[in-house]
Amino acid sequence: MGKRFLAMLVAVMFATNMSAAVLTPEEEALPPEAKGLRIAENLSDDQDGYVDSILTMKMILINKNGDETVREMHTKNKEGVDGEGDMGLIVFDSPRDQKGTALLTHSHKDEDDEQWLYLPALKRVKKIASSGKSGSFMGSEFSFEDIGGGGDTKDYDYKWLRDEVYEGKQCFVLQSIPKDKNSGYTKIIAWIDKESGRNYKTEFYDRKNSHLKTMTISGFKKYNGEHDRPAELLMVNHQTGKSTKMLMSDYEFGVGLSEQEFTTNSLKRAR
Amino acid sequence: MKLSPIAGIGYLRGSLNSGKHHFYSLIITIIAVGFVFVPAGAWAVGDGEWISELVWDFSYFPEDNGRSDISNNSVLTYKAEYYEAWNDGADSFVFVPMLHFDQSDPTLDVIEIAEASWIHVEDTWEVRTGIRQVSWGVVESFQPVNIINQTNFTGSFVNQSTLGQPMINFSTVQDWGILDLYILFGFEEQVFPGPDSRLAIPIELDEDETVFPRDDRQIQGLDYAIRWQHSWDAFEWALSYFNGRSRDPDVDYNYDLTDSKIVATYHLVQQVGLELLYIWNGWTFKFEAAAVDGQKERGREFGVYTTAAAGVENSFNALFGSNIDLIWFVEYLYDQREDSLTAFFEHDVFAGGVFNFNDAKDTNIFTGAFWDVRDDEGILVAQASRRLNESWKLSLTGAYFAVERKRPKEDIRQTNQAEFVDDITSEFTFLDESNLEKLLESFSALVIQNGFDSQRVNDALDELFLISELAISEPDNKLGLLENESTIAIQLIHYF
Repeated sequence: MGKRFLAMLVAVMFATNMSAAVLTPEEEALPPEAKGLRIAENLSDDQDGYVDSILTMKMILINKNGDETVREMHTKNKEGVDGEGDMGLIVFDSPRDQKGTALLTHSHKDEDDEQWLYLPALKRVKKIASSGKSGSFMGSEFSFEDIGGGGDTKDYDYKWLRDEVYEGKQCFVLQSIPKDKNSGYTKIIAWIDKESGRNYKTEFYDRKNSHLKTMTISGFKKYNGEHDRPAELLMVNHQTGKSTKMLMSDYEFGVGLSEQEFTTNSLKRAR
Repeated sequence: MKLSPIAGIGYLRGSLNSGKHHFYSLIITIIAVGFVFVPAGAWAVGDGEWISELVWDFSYFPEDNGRSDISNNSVLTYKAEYYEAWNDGADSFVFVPMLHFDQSDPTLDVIEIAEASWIHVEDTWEVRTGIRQVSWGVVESFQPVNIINQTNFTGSFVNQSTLGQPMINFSTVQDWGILDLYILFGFEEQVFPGPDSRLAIPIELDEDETVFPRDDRQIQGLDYAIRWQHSWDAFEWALSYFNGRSRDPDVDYNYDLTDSKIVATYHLVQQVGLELLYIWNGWTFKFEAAAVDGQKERGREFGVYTTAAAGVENSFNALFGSNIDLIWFVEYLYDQREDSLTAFFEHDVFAGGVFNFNDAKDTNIFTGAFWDVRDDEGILVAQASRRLNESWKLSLTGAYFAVERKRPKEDIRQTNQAEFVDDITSEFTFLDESNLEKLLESFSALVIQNGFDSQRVNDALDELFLISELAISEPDNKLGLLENESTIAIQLIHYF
């Protein structure tokens, strides 16, 4: 099962292109488990054909005292066919000691993703095993699991809990329970706009079933009239008091990236 | 995610094979840079980006090695990087000059051009022209196949790097893999740190006597290489071939006790390399091997020899519920030239791990050990590093050489000259008769000139001990010379 990487997250996970409401009136009447699965499947099926995209990301790590550490990166993504062959490239721009470090991902539907890391100090491309699930991503409050794009709908047990108004929007409250025992979570609860499919808020519960983190997603905007993307993710860890803000900017779609831009040769000269 | 400390500990090899630029190479560098600039044509300098870093490497040696007065040393390195891309990224240019200042060894003060290279990219191929750095190999602790660039040791052992190599490199990406063709211009010699330095060969290299044997077929000054790399499923492999001057010199003694020197010969070699990598369920399995033909030892052929390394890598995430993860390695290193001085890792195990703290400062601790499983000696290394703030980074390193000189340093100086001649003859049976004769003649000359009890003769005898230790007489105690070289090092980097 392929785990999509960070760049994929922003390009795809929050990508919605609902032409109608998330659920049809018939689907609304399903029992809670079936309804939950339907919501997840419809969102998953309805990811827009972004073809390819580039964007810039700024990750701000904030500690208990409010001190900030900034990491900047930019990414390129290219969409495969039916979830097979998605390609992503992340280049780290700061902090300076990591400038030029780059990660290439080839996603696969039915087998592990392939990942290559480029270490500029050593001029070395290293093929690496996909990262473990629950570890922190680059010191942030996001774990690899969070940014792994949530995997596939078959990896979770879903349940529609209720409808609720969140910041003036009619939302589904959807519960997802990871089937994988290595997951860092016992449950994940998401607030999803009934019309647009936008995910505004997600709560994460740890192995002890206590509320660990809350992610709020904001600044949604439609690009080229069809690609709906957020500008900011804020993950707050309630147990440590730390938080991470992820800011996305300079989105561009349909830039005409070829597969040749996602080879280990291009990884070596990625800037 | 960071593995750089591991590359750093390949320094043992580097300590023997350290290098710097020669004027000859500098001239080639200048020509190569010109070569890069001319095709760049209409490109106007100045639109790119400059970044710099200043590195302070401080080493402290708690023990006296009996040869060097140096107990601590500082090396300052300034490194700049200029990058510019044009034609929508189809063309790019990178220029990386470096300056080194060594507190105690002025021969290591150098200007170095690590990179000066123009890359032109087309759809399925690219051409990279200029001074470049190429890294082959998959194993962490030691890469037998890696041959393109000469090893550089002008920084400190924490800072091991390679010297820029002028080249034209054509690379194409196809369905059947990535093919690289290299034409390499010019050759960088290794420079041995002076005998007064630490972690050095205690006898001076005679640079004027360096030998470059010629081959009729060889276009002088050009080396060639080709590498094919491909992946299938969870496998990745590469095959490579190199035809040119060995980067590792064949080191010999001049057999002259009146003026002891080491002489280096760079033979023409052919090398075939194989790299294999397989990922399974979070495990990475790695293997690489090189077969080398044409290398010699003290001028004697020993046919084709093989060097190989194999290992596994795995990781533990979120250790004990913390944010810390551990990437660990176990590797086995083999060199068929067991008795050869330069084959340090002839039957050694390397085990190590990197603890990544996954914090805002990217704190990590690397610890590892090489262990010669047959001769029971080894090297232990630990390194901790973290960013202090956006523009400063600090590393602390300790290296401990777990070795003892096996041979007691008996004082044959007390014996008389006739007995000494007997001793030396039995001790140096591996020498050619002519070399032994040369050695004895020079000894006689010293004795006649200075008298047997003189300081000069005593010094010469000390050197003789060293030479016998350096030579193959003690293949089971190769690290013996490093007995008192354990080190504590600090590295501070400022980025601007």
